[in-house]
Amino acid sequence: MTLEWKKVSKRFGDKQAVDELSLEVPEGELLVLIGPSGCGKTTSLKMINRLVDPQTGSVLVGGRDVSHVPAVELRRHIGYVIQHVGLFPHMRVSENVGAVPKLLGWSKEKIEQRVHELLELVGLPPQDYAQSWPAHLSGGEAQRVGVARALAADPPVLLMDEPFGAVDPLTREILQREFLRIQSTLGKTVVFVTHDLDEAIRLGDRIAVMNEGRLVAAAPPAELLLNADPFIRDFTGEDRALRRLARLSVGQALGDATPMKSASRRDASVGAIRTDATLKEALSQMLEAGETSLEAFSPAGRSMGTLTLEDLLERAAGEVAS
Amino acid sequence: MIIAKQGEFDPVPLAALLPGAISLIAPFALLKENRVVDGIPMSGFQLAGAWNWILIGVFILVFLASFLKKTLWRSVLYGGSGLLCFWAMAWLLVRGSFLLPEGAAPRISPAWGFWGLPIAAYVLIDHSRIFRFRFGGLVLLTLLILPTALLFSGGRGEAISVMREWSARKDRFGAEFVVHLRLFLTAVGGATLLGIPLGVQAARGGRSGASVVSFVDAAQTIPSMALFGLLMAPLAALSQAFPLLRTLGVRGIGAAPALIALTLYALLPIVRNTVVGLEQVPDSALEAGLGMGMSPPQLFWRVQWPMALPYVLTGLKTASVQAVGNTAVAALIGAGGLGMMIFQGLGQSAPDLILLGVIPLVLLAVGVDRIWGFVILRTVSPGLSTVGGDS
Ligand SMILES: Nc1ncnc2c1ncn2[C@@H]1O[C@H](COP(=O)(O)OP(=O)(O)OP(=O)(O)O)[C@@H](O)[C@H]1O
Ligand SMILES: [Mg+2]
Repeated sequence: MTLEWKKVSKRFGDKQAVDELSLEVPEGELLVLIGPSGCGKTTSLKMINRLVDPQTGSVLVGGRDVSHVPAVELRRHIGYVIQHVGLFPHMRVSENVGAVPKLLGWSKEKIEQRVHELLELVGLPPQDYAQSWPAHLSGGEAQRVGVARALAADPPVLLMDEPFGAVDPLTREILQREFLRIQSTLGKTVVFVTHDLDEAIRLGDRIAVMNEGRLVAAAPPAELLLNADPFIRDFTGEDRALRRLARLSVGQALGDATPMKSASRRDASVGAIRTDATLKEALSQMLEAGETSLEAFSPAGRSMGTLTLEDLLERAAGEVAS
Repeated sequence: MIIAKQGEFDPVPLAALLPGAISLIAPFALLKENRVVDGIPMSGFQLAGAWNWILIGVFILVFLASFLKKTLWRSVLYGGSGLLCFWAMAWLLVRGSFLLPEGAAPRISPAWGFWGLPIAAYVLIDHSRIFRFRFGGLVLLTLLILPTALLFSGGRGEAISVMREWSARKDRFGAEFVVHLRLFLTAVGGATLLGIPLGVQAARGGRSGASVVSFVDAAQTIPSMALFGLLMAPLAALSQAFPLLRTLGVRGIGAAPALIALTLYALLPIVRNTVVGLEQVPDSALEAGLGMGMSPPQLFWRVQWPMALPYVLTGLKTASVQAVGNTAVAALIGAGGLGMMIFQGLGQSAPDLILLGVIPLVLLAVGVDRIWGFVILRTVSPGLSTVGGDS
């Protein structure tokens, strides 16, 4: 289901929270909204499920103007993971996850089965977690339940407002990886708000950067990291070349070439790297070993060719379209 | 080592032994020929006679135990001696009634030293852990009441002053008790029906809600006696002006002003706690509910109300326990109830009659408190209390 903001603006008092935002999200895309605190990310997100109504412009969900759809009806078909998890403390995990299906009037058995499925999906074994109370969950577990709750009625659209905000970096990375896995099987249209650039680069099919209520740029991560706009340059940081390298794997840089049949003998003087390592890791390895080339091996141990420093320079400069 | 290391010494039982010892040394009971004479004071020692060594033995045991290591056995000892103190209290009264002089209706009245034993029993039992299980309260109640009832049965308890007062006015007592219950239940019921909607309204932030809260606040600051007095004049005037009201029983004195004042008093904790309960619901829960497509009534009944419930019920509990006591004051303006016994007893300088009013009053308050505790336990989601790891 597609989403679109059409020249929407919203002001709170004399604060222009969103200013003439126009942006389309095609079906199945994971769009990341990013920008400094207070730039209007949450406000833009809430316009989709009508928790905020724009003063001018319109928001379309599946081509329909949301202001013509009853808010309650609309919201039951849009998954929403809020900024502070917001689990209901008086309900067990299973009741939290089953809340939307219950609103939709599903039968008890169907809800129970769905809850079971979802807890499995987010990596919380139902037999251990279904009957727990939210107060007894760790931060990471609570975030998983929040995601499961949003997915409960299998909504075509998912809105996520800093869903992994309140956990430690390690848990956050695990949650991100699992979310990518879930998204690759479900293929929802997702709007994902964050102010963590690494998270945006890791997750986003496209990243929309906002500043002071306006859209500054919207592009796939690799392009965004090459964008010359001063705000974007500043926002993506001094180390954006490294971030570009971190997005690509050794295998991708070598063009996923077919294994070289002859070069099976390993040259002992050259370091080795796996094709599923990132180029950033490859660079680090070169620097550490004081070498300018590494031999690449597939996870199965087959030689895949040689990665040189020139390859890395090319990629970092963005001269090769990825 | 079974002897306590430094820091393990437990001072609480010693705090119980002091009042216990007072019961033995100070005047425990007065033996009277009839209701008006002064009576002969008797200490616990004098009443116990040859059985003294049991009490002294128990006290020494408790004293020694307070130096022991914290074990289940120590707890058992505390709990057991607490029960013993309570039974001894009843038993000493029965012993005393055998020493009574001849007369038409001789009686044994508790003197000031009497209260040491129940205080000791309370401290010891409260400090012991042995009744802290699922139906522990019920078991404890049975252990307290059953032996006491057996001791008093077969006419052995009838010479105890409160019993004498009771048997002299059984019917009055029953009637006043019912009046008391009715007054207090009506006031709390009315305050609940009024207070919860008002609290919900106030929490929504309406102007009417805010003014209601300040009105109820103001009413609470008026002392109860003054409030009863304040209500007398206007109600008397109303009753004069409208004969219909008079036939309905609305007068300057009696049940009408009592009910109005009691309801006003009960209103504050109910309104207050409803407001606090609803306001403490975090915005994130509200946003999650709205965001998933709950309608406003669904949001209220599925999110706000269950999350406010522990606060609301605690308000009802406070209001009820207070109302039990306030209802006693209502006797002053002729509303009846257990307060009648107390004020009559005060008027006639008859402490036994005062006790006949006070004892059921205290039991009623404790009972009401326990009933609400049970209701709270059963109706509030366990997810809302961080204690207790049921899952
Ligand atoms: N209900 C509201 N009433 C008044 N001002 C609001 C309201 N909601 C948002 N704002 C203001 O609008 C601006 C944008 O807020 P928004 O929540 O969209 O920012 P954000 O990008 O999500 O920030 P953060 O990263 O801190 O969550 C902020 O200045 C905020 O103070
Ligand atoms: Mg936000």
